[in-house]
Amino acid sequence: MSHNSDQNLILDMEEKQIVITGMGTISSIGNNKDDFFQSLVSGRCGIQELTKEDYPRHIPQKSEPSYAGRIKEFDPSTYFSEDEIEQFDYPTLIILKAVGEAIKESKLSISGQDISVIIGSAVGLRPTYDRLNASLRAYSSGERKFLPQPQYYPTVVMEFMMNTVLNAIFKKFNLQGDGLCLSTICASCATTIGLGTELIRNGRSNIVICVGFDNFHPRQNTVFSHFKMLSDEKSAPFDKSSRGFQLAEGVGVLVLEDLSTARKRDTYIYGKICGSTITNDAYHIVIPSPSAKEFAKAIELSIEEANIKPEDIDYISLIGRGSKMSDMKELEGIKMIFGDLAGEIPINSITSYTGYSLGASSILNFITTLLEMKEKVILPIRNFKNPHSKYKMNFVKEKPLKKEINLALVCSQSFAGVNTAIILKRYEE
Amino acid sequence: MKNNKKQVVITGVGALSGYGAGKDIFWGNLKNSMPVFKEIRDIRMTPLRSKMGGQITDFKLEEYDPILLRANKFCQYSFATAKKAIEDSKLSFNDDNSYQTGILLGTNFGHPVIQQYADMLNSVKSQYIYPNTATSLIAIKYGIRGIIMNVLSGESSSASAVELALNLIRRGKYHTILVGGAEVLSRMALLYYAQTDEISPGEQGYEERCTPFDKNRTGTILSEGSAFIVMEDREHAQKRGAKVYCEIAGCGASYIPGFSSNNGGSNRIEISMQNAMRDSGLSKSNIELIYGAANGSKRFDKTEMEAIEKTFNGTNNLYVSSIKSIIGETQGASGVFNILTAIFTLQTGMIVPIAHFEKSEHDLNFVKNPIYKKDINLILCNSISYSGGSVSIMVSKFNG
Repeated sequence: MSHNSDQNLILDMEEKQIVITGMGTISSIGNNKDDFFQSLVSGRCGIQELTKEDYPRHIPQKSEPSYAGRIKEFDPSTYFSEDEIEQFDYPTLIILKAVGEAIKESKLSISGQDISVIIGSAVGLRPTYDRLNASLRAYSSGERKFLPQPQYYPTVVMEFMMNTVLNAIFKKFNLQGDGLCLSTICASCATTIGLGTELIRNGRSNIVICVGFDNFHPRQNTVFSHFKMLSDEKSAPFDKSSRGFQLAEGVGVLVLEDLSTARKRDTYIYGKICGSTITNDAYHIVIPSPSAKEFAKAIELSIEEANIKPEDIDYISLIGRGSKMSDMKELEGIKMIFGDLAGEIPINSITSYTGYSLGASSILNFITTLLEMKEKVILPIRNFKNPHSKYKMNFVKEKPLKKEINLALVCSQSFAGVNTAIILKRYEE
Repeated sequence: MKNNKKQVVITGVGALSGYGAGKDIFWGNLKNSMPVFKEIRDIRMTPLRSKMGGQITDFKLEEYDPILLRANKFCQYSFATAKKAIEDSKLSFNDDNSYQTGILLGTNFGHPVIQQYADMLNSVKSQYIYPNTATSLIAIKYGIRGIIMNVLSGESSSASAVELALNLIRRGKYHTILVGGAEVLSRMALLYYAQTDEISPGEQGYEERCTPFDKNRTGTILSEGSAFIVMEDREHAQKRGAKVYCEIAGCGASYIPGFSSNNGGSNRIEISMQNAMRDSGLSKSNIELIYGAANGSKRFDKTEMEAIEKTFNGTNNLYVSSIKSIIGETQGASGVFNILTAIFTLQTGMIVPIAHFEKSEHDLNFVKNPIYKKDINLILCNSISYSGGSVSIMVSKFNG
């Protein structure tokens, strides 16, 4: 049982090529990858009005929207045995389903293989307000027996620690290797991809499973409404009249590995990561930097790492929350790097289909990009009509654009100003 | 380069604990082997049998920065220690280096979760509830523009952060990474560890103390605190004439799930230690001292002793100790506190003993009293998470 055993070591001299060989996702628009993409193609929106039955204990404040992009119709008994349903709680089962989808697709042989699991989440497993109400006695006494569902948690604390998910993934899939959990708030899931890439390049890991998730609970609506970013009206990323966005939840999973190991199996290779950079604004704990300088730097460094020029990029995938400040920052950064080209390269965001799923959004747009690359189509920005006068760019709108994407730039942002920029290249034999 | 990998050294250090602020106070108390524990104040302790903890009681907010005035303790402690570490390293950040500098902060609980829920309704306090705010405050104050991230893997978080930082600096994108851990004492943490039978005195009638590895250990004693190190690329450090404390020669990690029953408990520690040795290119015979993860836990200390026995079977002159009888269990910050202690030992030649240690059920060379050994070169530091993680770090004397 050894980590990075000699037969897997590749000469340090040769630069490794990091590819994606499996993907899984669950979100408000589909409980698997195919449904997810089909919903995007057919323009389906997963954001729905919240009802009192959904969260009976939640008391909405005045300015709080009553919409969210929730995962729907997920019936664990479709995918898991009774034993498993007794062992893992509902949010964990959702993540396990997506991990299973990715592992299956990648055709990884688990036994004898060292696998690193990196989990990223903005909010983690923070229980819903309903559960906190129900669990308050357990938290106040430290006694597990007072939890409403103690069977899932060996201790009280495991109910809200990300380690619970790590535990579950290792157990369910019988993995050996190492794992860690991280957070960079809304850029968390993209950070797992960035870190996974570095660890494989360093020879420290051979295979990395990147897991990104975020759950929705209505307390988040309360918190975000303080910053006046949410709205009951349809969000329209980059549109000048967008009044705000709606929150959502989702899970995205990727299998990353070196090309030489991927080639040995008969597995579909989605694409190659050529450049990946993480920066932060160092500006304010919540407000993004208006200058977009640090975000632009992330793009610049990734382009440099990929050894390409800005004009080589065929497509840009942004987060596009639908809130003015963050939308402007994304576009300003693009403008700084691409200049006049910014008017030509197609840009989109899927946030108005799914809702803004915090950290998960930074992996869902990544998965979307790889699927768009495969299907040779770029999806339109749902609800988008008119850009801001300052940013008249090539926003894909109204209907899907047929396009063969060779090089894509996928970006993400967070509050506290963490920026990520990853460059993906279509894989060709 | 060493072992075909870039060398990574430590050029700055900061600490905050029940002893006070700063590395000198911390090291001074290690020298006297003075436990940090006092009776816990201002936290409702019933129905716990424990009374003691390493609590920070004299935190001087005025010594830091107005940026901290609205922040909670978790953010304040992290910032304070990062500040000390940065000042110690004499680094400053500007357009030439800010993107090649990052911050990784590990924590187990961060800002206590019940408090997070309360703060969510307050428009000011809600901005500080997530641990990311702590890293962000440091980045804003010092103009650090590379990756800022929190590791949230339980008790081994800051050790995990050290391992990540090592890999990132070797990769070449970063030449400096601030790595730290922070933990705040809260009623919930105390209750949680007591409920899982991890806290001393455990059952009625036993003495409240923290004696890792000892046969009659009764559990651990929790402490709050924060520790930061500045990890830097060796060439970058030498070019600017930085003072170098030590080198991080290698790291290894492993995860085997399992909780109370601990099947696989010692395996994960064996694997992480072996991985660390392989990563550093050094063998077990080079290691002279292990500062363990052991904290007095009846079940987990045992797994570490088994792992050490299996891995170092037949190795002579290997000292085994744990600093937690003195500094307590700082959970998410424990990984970096261990490294700070290793630095102390490399500099002074003094091995910090296990306070009140008498005997153990395992036959290892445990350090009961302070030992002075000037020629120690390589120390292995272990850190584990109760849910299944293990991280081992090789700290070596820097010889240029």
